[in-house]
Amino acid sequence: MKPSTQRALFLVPWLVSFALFSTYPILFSLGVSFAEYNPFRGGFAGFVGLENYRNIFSDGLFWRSCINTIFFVVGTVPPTAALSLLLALLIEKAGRLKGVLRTGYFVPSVVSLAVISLVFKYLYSKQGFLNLVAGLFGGSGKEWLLDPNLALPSIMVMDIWASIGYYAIFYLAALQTVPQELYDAARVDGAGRFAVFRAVTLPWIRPVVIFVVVVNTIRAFQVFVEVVIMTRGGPMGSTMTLVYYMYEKAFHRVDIGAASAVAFVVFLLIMFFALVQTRLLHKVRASVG
Amino acid sequence: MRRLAALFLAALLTLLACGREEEADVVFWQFQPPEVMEGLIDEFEAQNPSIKVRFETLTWQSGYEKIVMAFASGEAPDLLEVGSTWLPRFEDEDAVIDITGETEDLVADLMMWDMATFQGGRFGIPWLIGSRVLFFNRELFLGSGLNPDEPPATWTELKDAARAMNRPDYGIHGFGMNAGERYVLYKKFMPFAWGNGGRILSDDHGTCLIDSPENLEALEFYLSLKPYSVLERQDMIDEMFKQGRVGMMISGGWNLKRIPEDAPDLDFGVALIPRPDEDGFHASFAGAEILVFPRGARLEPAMELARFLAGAEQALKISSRTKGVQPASREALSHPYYDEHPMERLLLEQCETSIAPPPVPDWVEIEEVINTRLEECLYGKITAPEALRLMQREVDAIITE
Repeated sequence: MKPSTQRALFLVPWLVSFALFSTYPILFSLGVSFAEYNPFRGGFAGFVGLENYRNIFSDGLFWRSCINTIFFVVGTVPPTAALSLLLALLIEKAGRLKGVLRTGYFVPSVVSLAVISLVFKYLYSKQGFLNLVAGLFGGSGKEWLLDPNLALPSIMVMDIWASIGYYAIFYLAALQTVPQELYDAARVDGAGRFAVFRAVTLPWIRPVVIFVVVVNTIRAFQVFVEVVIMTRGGPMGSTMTLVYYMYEKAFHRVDIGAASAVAFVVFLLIMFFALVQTRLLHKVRASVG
Repeated sequence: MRRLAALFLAALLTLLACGREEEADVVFWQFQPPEVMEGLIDEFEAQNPSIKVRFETLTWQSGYEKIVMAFASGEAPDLLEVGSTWLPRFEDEDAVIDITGETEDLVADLMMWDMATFQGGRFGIPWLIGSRVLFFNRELFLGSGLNPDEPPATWTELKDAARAMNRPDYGIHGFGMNAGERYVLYKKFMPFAWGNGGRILSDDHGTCLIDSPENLEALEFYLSLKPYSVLERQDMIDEMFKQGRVGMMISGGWNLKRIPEDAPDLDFGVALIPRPDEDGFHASFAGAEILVFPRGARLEPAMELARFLAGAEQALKISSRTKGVQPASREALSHPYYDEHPMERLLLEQCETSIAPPPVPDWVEIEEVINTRLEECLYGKITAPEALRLMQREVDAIITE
């Protein structure tokens, strides 16, 4: 067998599953987003052009979900990227405790997000741990998930906590690859700690920074599990996110066409942000390098 | 080599497992505890040796999704348990079979046919019925100088009791008021409105009647409970009630099972939902589990199973276990079981004066309007008259669409 045929053969299993479980459903729902689709009456009931998109764009709740989702992304992605890098730098310096800390901070990523959400729902409740601590320091305690101004930020804080350990692992791995000679050279040149970090470490691990930011952005746009378990979009729509809105459209209203349209709006949004981020971060690299 | 052999064996086993699935005559999807259902199905199969039943248990969290997807892929079961508020949509879409002709003889035996009837046709068999009642903490009643043997029967008594028990500094609240979730609010408010003679839609479902003096009076009363209440989501209110931190709440029969399990020392009672005064009535929110036959079902054996399950004895086996629902069978009303279980009898009694949401296909949308405006009102964003005016306008738009 020729090596090229062999290579192609090895790719077949993945290609088949990708075509079957990714490409086909994606194209199918793209079609559905331009059609009337009634699951009770055997599915497709004809194409309706842009009707589904018009339908969601004229819904105030859709725009509310858009704003909430973007707020969530903007409020979680940069802090997560920065905090996990800081965490990685600290763990790096921890010496013998390194292994324990690395594992400890990674634990939340092993626990299902549903479980984390449930635990935080109790932490945030009126009689929860958070208010207990606030009480010890003379605070009055807040209704974290019941206050329309606090509910989404509360979920965001939880999300950051739950994901920094995961991204810190990527940074840790990247930090190991920075050649010692570069540090030595910088120090010989008289660079201080911060200067070394800015001029040596950061440029070297920039590809990982890009990776972390882009991957986390994609994930943050799809925020859903936290909302289902903790607030179901409430109070007063303050935690309504795009994917949760899509879920409601699909499984409460049984409006599969509109739900598919939302899915493609989310897809385009993610693509746009990911492209912009990759561009920007590469540009920074070019200007520094 | 050994790994390869193991892989082969695993593949073979998978294939065998797929091939061996038993052919069933009736596929039944339901929400009741599988251990109770298993016994009932065994009993049924013993009585009907020619009918093989395979049942699957759905959960309330994801059941609706699964049902919708099953209809979409043409794999709906032969017999299906559905919540009564879902049914109008299924009926409107012709997704379930009209069984008017097959159920003539059952009409007198079962209650709550309204919920299975759509545009004059019967589309399902009422199986289990449920309602919401007032739960109260007897200990807190005593501690506040109230008589636990005379729970509040009118609005005034309800508010007085809530005020008497409310001590937020000690973490104790007079009443548990739902907030922060959009799905249940109307179930808690509408009993007050209905008891006061308020309506959502006219009898022919053609006119919206929400913006009425009766509903306004009820909403203003409901809001007046807020100073003596804790605002929380249902699961948290249930939890706080078990901890003895909530004096009264409106909740469902499932608590009759869960409270003794989770808080065996809690001394609590149940009462009918208070009425406005001597003139009004003890209204509550009614729901039912309906057995329906999806389009394409094998009707004959499925009907046999449905008739069996709806019988008083069988339904009572489920309700005595779950406590969340009561049999729709009239025969169960006089069953000695209820002599020994007064709290469950009260639940059954509450069912008799409970009202179901109007059976219209757009109910989900209407419910959402009511919930959204009610929530805004609870959070003080809009006043009660404004809330009702907005509900009226938005529901009108939905039904005239």
